[in-house]
Amino acid sequence: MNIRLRAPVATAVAIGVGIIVLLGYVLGGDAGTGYNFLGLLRVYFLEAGVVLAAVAVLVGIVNLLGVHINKIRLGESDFYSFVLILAFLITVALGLYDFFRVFWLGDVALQRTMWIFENVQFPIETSLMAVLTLSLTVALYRLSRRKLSVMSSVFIVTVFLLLLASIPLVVNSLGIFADLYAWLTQVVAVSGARGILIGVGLGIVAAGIRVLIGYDRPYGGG
Amino acid sequence: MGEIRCPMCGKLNPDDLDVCQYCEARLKPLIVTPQEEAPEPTSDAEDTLVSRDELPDWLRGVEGDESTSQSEPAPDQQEGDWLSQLQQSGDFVEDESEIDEEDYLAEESEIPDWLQRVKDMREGDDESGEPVSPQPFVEEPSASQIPQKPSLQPDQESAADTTMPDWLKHEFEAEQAEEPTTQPKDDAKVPEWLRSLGDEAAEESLDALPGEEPVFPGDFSLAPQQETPTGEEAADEEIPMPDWLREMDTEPAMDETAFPSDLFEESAGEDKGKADEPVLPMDAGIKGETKDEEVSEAEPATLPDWLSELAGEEVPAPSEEKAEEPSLEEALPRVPAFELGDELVDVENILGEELPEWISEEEAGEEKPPETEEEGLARAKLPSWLESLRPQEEQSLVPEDLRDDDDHVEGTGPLAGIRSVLSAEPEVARVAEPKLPSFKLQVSEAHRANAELLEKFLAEEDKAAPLPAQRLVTLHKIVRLVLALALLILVGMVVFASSSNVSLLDKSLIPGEVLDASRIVDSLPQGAQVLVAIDFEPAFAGELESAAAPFLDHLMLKGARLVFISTSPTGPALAEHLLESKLAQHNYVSGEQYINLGYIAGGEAGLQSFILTPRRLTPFSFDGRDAWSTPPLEGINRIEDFKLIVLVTDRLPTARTWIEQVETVSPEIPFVVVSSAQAAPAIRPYYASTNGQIEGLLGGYTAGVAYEQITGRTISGRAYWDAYTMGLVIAVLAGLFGVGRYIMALVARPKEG
Repeated sequence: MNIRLRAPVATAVAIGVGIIVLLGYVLGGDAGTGYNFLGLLRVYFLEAGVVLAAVAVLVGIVNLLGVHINKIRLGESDFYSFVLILAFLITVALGLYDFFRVFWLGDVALQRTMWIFENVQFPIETSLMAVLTLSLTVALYRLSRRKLSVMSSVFIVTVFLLLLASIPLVVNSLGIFADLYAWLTQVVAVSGARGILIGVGLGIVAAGIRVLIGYDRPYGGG
Repeated sequence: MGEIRCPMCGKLNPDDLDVCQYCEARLKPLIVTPQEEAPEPTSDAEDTLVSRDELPDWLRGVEGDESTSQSEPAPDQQEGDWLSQLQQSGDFVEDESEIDEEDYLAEESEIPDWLQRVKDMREGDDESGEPVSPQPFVEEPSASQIPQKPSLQPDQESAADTTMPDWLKHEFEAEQAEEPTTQPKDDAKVPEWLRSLGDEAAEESLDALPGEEPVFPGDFSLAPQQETPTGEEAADEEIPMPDWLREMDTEPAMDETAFPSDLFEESAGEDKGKADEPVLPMDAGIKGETKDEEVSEAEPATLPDWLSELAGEEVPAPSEEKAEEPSLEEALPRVPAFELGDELVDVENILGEELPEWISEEEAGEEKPPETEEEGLARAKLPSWLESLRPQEEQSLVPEDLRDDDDHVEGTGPLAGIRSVLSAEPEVARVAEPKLPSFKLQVSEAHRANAELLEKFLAEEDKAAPLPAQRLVTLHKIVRLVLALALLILVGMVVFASSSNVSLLDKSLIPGEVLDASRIVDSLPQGAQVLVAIDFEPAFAGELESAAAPFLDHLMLKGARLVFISTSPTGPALAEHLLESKLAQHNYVSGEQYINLGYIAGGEAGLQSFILTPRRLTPFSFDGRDAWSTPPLEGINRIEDFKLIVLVTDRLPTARTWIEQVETVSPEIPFVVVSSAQAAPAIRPYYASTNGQIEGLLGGYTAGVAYEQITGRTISGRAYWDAYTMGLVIAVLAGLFGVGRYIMALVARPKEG
């Protein structure tokens, strides 16, 4: 008999775990007074979730590797798939070597892994951010080429004011820019950000309730 | 019980059914073909006798005499068939049979007055010496009617010798020998219909015969015929009068006994007088049911059939004289006088183009000449036009390959009796693979053109549209290149020149959250254990390291033991990089002054788990040490044991997660956030709240430089301050240049327009 139990089982598990964690958060105690059964269940489920998340990262890495291997096999990929796979293999090999040296040979630090990070990943990402700075500068130049409206004009004016107020020479020489900068960042921006945070908080509560009652099933099953 | 297959649907039915029980088609034909039921004319003498028995007495007597005197069964049989058909077809034959012709013949010596007057008039004309030029009533007689006239010629010749022909004498003798039942009409010397007709005809004939225009007595039957004659008929038209008729007219002895000619005259005169009312004798006889009574009463008087039969039966008698006196009949085609084909020709000529169905059926049934036709009798020759109308000819329209059986005659269904009809039954019973119908699409030129156009469009869909040719040098490229060069050159020059010409911010302009962060550090005890979360990406390392380094430097100055943790995979490496780069001067050793617990998976859940059970979640450090046995984690069992929590992040969600998870567990522990400049305004509400989820906030590079001003140390902020100022100036100038260009464009547009 072929019965599809995936959807109802997954829903039941998700709802049950969510309710236990929520109850353990409220009624499970704390580290100071000690955890009761609900608290221990909550801790256990959270630790299991962390392990599953770590495994999910590995699954994601393997999946990424498999996709590029298939691209190479089918001839759909170009040079970058080879680079990715080669970099992956080199990084994994050096990481396993460092791991072996640290945990079995007592070596200190992950020298080879850190060397790859500091000499490859870090410069690349910071360089990309530098390019972003240049792009933002060009975008600022081209900002007025768009058809101006009230909001776009406000945006442009605000940008110029903040930029001017960020320049130490201007701020030091023209105190009004400092006050304007403080007003913009501490009143206007904070008010907007606070509204965003309140909205995010309410959305999180609503999303949690929808998941707990099974209305939303982000884990699949309809 | 037998079964009959339906000729229509092909299904089997019991033979006792007349119609198909499936499609209700008739199984047994209503009309039986002559081949099936009609006996052969030559071999069925009994039927011929039977038909003779059905004949009227007077006619039977005549035939009996003729049969005794002539041994010609074929014409006799034809006559019998012909008469029987007439009997079956209409009232005319019945009326004809009712007429006691024998009485009429017996009393013919008593010629009526009107007939006598006609005879007298003709004799008077003859005596006047003027030749009687027969004026045909109809100017264009058909050739099919002419042969009847010479057939009568021998009779007239024989009548010239005697006042009564032999055949008439036989009739009289036979009549006298018969019972007197045929003579009940004592006072009716002439039949009533003939008397009445004779009176009218006599009067009309007198009116119509002024003496100048002799009437051609034999043309009475041709009176209504207005058909265009054929070439042969045109040749006959030149003959003014047949010899036999001329002789008959010139015979003085031809008086009372020549009643047929008189009767012809009478009828001719009647018909001539009724030229505008062409009542056809034969038509009346054939269509007796459709004619009115007046016409039907006139039919016996005008009908020459019985007389023609009598005359035709005597044809063989003078046959020897034909060789002696070759007359008109030799020039004309020799056609038996009373052959049915000629009769039909006459009938058809009289009726016009259309023939009744029963006559057509008779034609079809009598198409085969009698096989036992004796020699000496000329076989009937159908005219060419009638020959073409024959339905059953040997030449079939069906192609040779499709003709299964040429001798097959359809026996059932509406096509019964027709030869070489494609049989439906074999087609039904035939089991063969059906031919697939042709599905060739009829495409017009317009449709073909449209289809080709559609195919062309579809083919073009696969082709990538050619990109417009881009100019190598555009204004956008120039601007981008200029800005890039300006940033690289100017900022690079400032950086490599280690310029410090730009003054730092005034202390009055240092943000309060930076000052609060400094005060928190100042309030920490020496060697305090501080949890530092490094949750940013390497791309933001330039900004965040410059912002976090003065704060961490301040902590290191206080001898704080740092415990690094991260929810980002690159966080542990960034922590190591930060300690080894900006804070390298403090020579912090892993496991001694700091410990890197590495990466916590699971996002918020992992962070929550770390807050609840830090030892269980991160038992080992980033470099593989037993983290919780190292000095930085000494005495730390839970997160509340840390003196300060510092978060370095570039994103609001990460800051929100940390603040929400940590502050709910240990709200009393100071929390300082070092964020990027873009995330600082969004994180600031946590700092600006009344209860203060975070106690300090350092937002961006300027906050780090400000913190350096507070601590009076120079970590890295001052080194980039001039470059940072230069970059901002370039950006502002670029923006202003763009806005100015736009305003100039707006000003220039109205002038152009």
